[in-house]
Amino acid sequence: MSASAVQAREELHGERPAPADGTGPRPPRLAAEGLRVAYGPRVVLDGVDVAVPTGAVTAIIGANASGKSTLLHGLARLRRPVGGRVVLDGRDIFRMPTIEVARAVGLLPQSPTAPDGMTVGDLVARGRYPRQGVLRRWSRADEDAVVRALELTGTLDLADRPVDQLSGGQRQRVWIALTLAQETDILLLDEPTTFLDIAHQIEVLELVRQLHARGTTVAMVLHDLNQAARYADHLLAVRDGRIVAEGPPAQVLTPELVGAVFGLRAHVMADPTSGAPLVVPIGLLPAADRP
Amino acid sequence: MTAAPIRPVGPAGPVGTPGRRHRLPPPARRPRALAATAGLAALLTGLAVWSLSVGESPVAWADIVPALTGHGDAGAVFAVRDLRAPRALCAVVVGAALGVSGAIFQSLTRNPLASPDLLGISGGASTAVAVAVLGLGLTDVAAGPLALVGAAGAAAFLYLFAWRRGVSGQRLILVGIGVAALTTAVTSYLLTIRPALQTQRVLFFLTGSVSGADWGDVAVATVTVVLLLAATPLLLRWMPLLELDDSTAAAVGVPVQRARFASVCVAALLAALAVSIAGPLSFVGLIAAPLGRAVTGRPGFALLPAALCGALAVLIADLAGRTLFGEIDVPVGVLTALAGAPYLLAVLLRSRTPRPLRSRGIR
Repeated sequence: MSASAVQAREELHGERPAPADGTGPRPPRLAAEGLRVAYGPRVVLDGVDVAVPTGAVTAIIGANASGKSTLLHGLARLRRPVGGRVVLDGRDIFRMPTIEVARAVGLLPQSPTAPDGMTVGDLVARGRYPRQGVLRRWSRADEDAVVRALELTGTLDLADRPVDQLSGGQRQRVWIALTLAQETDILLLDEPTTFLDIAHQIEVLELVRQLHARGTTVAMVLHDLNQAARYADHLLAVRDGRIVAEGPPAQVLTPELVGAVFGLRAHVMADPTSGAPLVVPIGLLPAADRP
Repeated sequence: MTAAPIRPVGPAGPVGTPGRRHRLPPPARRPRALAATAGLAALLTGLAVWSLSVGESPVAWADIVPALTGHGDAGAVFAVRDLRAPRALCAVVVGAALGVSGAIFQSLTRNPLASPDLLGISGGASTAVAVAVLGLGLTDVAAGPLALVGAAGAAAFLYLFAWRRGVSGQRLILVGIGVAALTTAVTSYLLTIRPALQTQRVLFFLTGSVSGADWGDVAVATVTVVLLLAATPLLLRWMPLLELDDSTAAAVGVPVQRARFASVCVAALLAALAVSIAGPLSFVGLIAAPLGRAVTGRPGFALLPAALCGALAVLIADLAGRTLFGEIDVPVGVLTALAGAPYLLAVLLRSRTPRPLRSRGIR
């Protein structure tokens, strides 16, 4: 991480990050170990071992119902595992006070809801919950953190507007601001671009890069492989509740992987603007070869 | 890092520039909310004091305080200290308890129609009284404790049946409607099979009234106030998150199931205590929270405005019932229903078209 990024991160979080040696990757802070998650009798994640690379942007890709979102929810301790565990800084996430986890890991769910008429400022202020207590309520630090989160997401001008009157893209940035107000080093985003038009999708992804530049670790579920390739440093490909491939996009996104994960025949070429892999689907694989 | 070239997004404005601080006061501290809340409190206090002086035998303002302490004219002492003061106190506490109870249920279920009466908690109280008086023939038993047990029982039933590895707001509503229907059925059955002479007293309880309030009721009211005050810090901490979606609440560190269970318990107990004092007053729990939102301009869960509006609703209804209709003391429950029913219709008529898509990432 560059010196300016470290400084930016300090501005954002008001605290010193763990010392980074500047060269090698830092040890992962959040990891799943043999994670098994089930909905009743249906096992959705079957023994997943995965570490979220610290300081990087990770995209989780996979077909519908492959367990992508469940993995993200598992990492955010929203689903209690039936086996294995999720560790944060070496501790089992379910043996830590939930509020302590909330000071380290933020999550943007898929369809967050706010009461009618709630203003942007009020909503984002609720992200301060883990920094407050029953007796320690609204403080100057809370206000500053909320203003920073609104500034960072470009929603400060909307602070007094009701959330339900915003466009989809604005609304998504507001919800991201709520997670930023939490001031966590790790941010998990569940399909942050779904239901947004292409410009708003790019807007959210650029914001993710901006957060990354400030030192935030981001892991997000994305449906668009090309966006994942372009905006993530690290890909996790999920199929049937298991990680089938992980690594830098250029290594992971191959025609074979696209076939194995999505059942698609595809060309993979270099994106002319960024050099990242670009997946061009050709057609479905024969039914027998599909996952 | 080989991916996208990073473009700066938006104005890279200075962070926390001194001199150009943005103020984001919490909703309760905004000028309008403060003024409106103070106004409601002043109105409530004024009406409560006024209610001590008006009635069949008016008492001059100057004689109110002496009468409360037992001095002065014996008639005034009786009217003020023994009749009107407990009545006003009970009206205020019952209204506040129902208002907060409704606000909690509405925020928890994220449904503007949730309230202790529509969820069957008041119905549980009615059924308990009907069963005891009409079913078991216990004619001289006090309605208060029966109502308390009935309401608490209905709430426990509600939670138990809504539970399926955690309780969701939606299921709470559906089961609640079922509980309400069930209690109504039992109560109606008992009312129809018994002679009118016996049903009279039950019917009076079912309407809801504070006309018979005495200092014993005030003791129950005190318990209610203590419960409300004790629960307030936790409600103020949890409700703003519980009224969002469960994932967001859990992600910021709210122990969602525990917090929801505690909040339902508080809401149910407040309603049960209120009903044990005044009977199942309808609509107060339904209208108090939205009324508070409209007056203070605070969206979402707002405890004090809901309490004040509930208290005002019951106090005004009781005042109107005993002053506007000459000799007849119209039970407060009749008037809250009269005022509440049009509100319910208005909500249903105004409810903006397809709701599920609003203010969410859209599913």
